[in-house]
Amino acid sequence: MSIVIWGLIKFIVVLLLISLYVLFMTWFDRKVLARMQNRVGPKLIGFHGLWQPLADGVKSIWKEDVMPGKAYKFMFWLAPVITITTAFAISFVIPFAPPVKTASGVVFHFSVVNLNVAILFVFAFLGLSSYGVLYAGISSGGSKYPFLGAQREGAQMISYEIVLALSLLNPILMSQSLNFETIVAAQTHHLWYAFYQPVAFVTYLIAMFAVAGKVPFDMPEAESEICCGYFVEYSGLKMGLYPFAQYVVVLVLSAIMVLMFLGGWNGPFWDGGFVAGFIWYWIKVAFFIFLFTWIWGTLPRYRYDQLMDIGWKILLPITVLNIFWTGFALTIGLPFF
Amino acid sequence: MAEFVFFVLALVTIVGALGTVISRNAYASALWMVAAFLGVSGLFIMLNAPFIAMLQIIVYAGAIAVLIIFVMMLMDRRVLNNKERFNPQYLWGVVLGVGLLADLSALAFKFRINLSHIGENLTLNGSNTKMIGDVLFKRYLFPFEITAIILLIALIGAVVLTRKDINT
Repeated sequence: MSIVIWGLIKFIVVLLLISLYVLFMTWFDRKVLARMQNRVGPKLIGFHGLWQPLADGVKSIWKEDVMPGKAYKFMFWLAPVITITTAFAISFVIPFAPPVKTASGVVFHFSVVNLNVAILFVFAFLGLSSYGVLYAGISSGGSKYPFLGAQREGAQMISYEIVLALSLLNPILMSQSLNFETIVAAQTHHLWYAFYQPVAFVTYLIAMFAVAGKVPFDMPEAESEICCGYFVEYSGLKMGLYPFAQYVVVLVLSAIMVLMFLGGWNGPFWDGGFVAGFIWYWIKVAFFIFLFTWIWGTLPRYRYDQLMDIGWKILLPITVLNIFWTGFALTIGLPFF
Repeated sequence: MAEFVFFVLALVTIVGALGTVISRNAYASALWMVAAFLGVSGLFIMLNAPFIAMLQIIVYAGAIAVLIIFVMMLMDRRVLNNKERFNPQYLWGVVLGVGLLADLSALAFKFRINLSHIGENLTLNGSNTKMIGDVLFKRYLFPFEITAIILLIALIGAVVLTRKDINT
């Protein structure tokens, strides 16, 4: 029974921490983008505008909740719920700190559940998260921009999830495990997998942006083409849930990147111990979260056909060939593998 | 506790399956189907098969159902809403469904399913993933490859049949 109670405690703590992270990230995003565009950004409420997200949240709660007349009512209500649920579900298998061995010899994991099939769980719920967007488009009652955005999301998700999964297959093959902590442990005593698998590292990096739906692959919500795509018809708190879920997905994908390719809580020096591991881990994750914002402020959007071409004609063949190479190298036992 | 989880999962599966058939809106129908898939994957977890449970979600709920919805989105909305609910061949479906139900109930009656054992494996930690890999890629490698090639043939066949500009 203590497993259930511990699970519930961790569940609530992770839920609260991630909500806090999202609040802070909206402020951080706006500040970084403002700095890039030579603006000041939010500055009036609190220290350098730090309480701006709270003000925005309160505002979005009191906004009028508009629903299109021809909308499918229940689905329209359900779509944001699906999005936020699946996004949080993924975050529950991510370890947030290195595991700690307690005095009685039991290992304490800093994830809500420490699954043996954690990576498959991530893929499963990333796949499900596209339903929130698809149904946002469908249930908007034949409104055109949401529909276009939803179609784009469907196609983009299917194409790039394959690339994402096939890139992650290489570290899985090398460590022979689907558990994040085992994979990190496999990188402790030699180089990180990014050095063995530079190609998979790069393909994952590209696919990561497409799966999160961020610039330069933010086709489903391309503001200047289809004016925010799938959530055009949403307002108030329901509309706020979509960016919220996107921030959670960004965190999760960055964490997976660090865990799979960059050695998790192993650092180049000052290694060992919980504090060191914790700090190294979050430095690396924070860098990738910053990378999302950085690229948002830097790169223009790709065209839709370019997106599909990159996915199917370039990234997919490269990842498949890379898997062949990894299998070959592992079978004949190359010195570095 | 375990029984409670089992009955929730069973309820999700059955209601999802019923909703798929009964629902008038084709999109809602697809969503019910996803709910049924989730329930089934939960049942797989209770049978100590987490790998198959995850594949159930990834392949069926994550890919196939999305493709079905995608195809429906390309159809005309008005056509979709005015579709007849039953095609003329529904009797065959009825015969098949009733037959399967009778078959399964007969089996359940014959083997006397013991309700006290339901939901004994509520963990996701029975790692038989490695075992599945070993069996598939060592013992049954040849049948596995044959299956892959059959699927590839079906794939190419679908492409050839739907492309109009091929002259052979």
